[in-house]
Amino acid sequence: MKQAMYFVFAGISVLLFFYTIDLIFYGTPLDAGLYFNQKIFYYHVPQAFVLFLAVIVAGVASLLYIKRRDGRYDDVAEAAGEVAVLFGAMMLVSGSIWGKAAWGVWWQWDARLTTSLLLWMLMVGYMLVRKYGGPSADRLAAGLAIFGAVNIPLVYFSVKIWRTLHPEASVVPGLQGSMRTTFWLSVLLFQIVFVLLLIARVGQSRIQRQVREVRERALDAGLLD
Amino acid sequence: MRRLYTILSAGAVLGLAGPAVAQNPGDTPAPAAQADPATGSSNRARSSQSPAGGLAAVSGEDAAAAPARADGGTIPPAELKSACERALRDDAEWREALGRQLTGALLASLDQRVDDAEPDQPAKKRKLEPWVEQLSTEIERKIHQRENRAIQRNNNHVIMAYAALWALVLGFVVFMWNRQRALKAEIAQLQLEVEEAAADDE
Repeated sequence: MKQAMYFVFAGISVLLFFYTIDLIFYGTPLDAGLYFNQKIFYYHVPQAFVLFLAVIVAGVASLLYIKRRDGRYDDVAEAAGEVAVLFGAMMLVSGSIWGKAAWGVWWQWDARLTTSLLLWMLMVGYMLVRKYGGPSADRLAAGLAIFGAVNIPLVYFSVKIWRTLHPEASVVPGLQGSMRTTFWLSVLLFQIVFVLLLIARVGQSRIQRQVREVRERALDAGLLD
Repeated sequence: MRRLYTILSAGAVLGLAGPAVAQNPGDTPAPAAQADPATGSSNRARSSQSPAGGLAAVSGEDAAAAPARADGGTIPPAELKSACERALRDDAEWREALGRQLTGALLASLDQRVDDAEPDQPAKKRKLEPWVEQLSTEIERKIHQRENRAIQRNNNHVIMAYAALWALVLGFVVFMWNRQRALKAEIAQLQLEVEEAAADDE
């Protein structure tokens, strides 16, 4: 049943993908100031939303793991951290290309861009600590994930706190008509993709952990050398 | 050439050729009304007052009425033509004044013709309409071209962004797929080791 639901949502996301592409390129008007490259917006901002969501999930799961010492929370945190790295990379790359089209430069040490990069690097650090940190790295990594989640308001409000090149957060509420519909459908698409990737990745982490635990028990019992 | 002659004859009729014709020894200026050659406005005003006459002069309707000499004889066309040509060549100020006056007369006659055709609309407005339309079409075309160039220029960036996005997702899916295979291999290895250990115990 769970698997059937998974494939149903995967099918919905595929359909939604084609539908949003059609809406983005044929159903929405050209932006008066940014012309065609504004089309990047419909995927760039949902990617940022997913990054925030993934980091929050990783942070909350890590907090629960530290409190309860239940490996299942750690699985969720690891999976969410990895998906956060993926969506962070997508957001930074699409943002950089958009910056080149809109500002003429690939990168600016602007407050929003810099804080986003730091958040992404933090999550990359989280993954590296998990992989190469040795024994008890999971708790150290959990601390990093919590720090990342706490860092999100700084990234979000950076456009309000500092004077930045990056558009303000008021752009999304100001969307009208087909632009708004397309944008929120894209957000929905990316949220579904996030959940699907998270479920798949959590499943892997869980099996990995269980295999590790079985091996350790077998070693302890003297079954394996 | 015939047209030039006609125009110059008309200029002479209007009294502008006087000083030029008088350059010929023995000739006297044609008895025509003297206009101020320095300002086109007075000429234009006069033409406006009598636009039909102005048009007739320009189009050569009165060309048959050749200017007369002081002694009563008419000036031969060839002589008049050469005098006009000389004047046009030598007297830049007169040439300019003549041009202004002819233009004024032409515009006034056009106005009058348009007014006669459609008296309910201001002539100038109607006259400007096609020009305005042409200009707006041209501006619109330029804007479209510019926007098209901008769109074409930005096309690459949009394609680049979407390609990068799906390449990253694809990379991640491939990465997960490989890990899944590694995990299956690890489970198979563990199963084998457990079975071997169980067999050794037996």
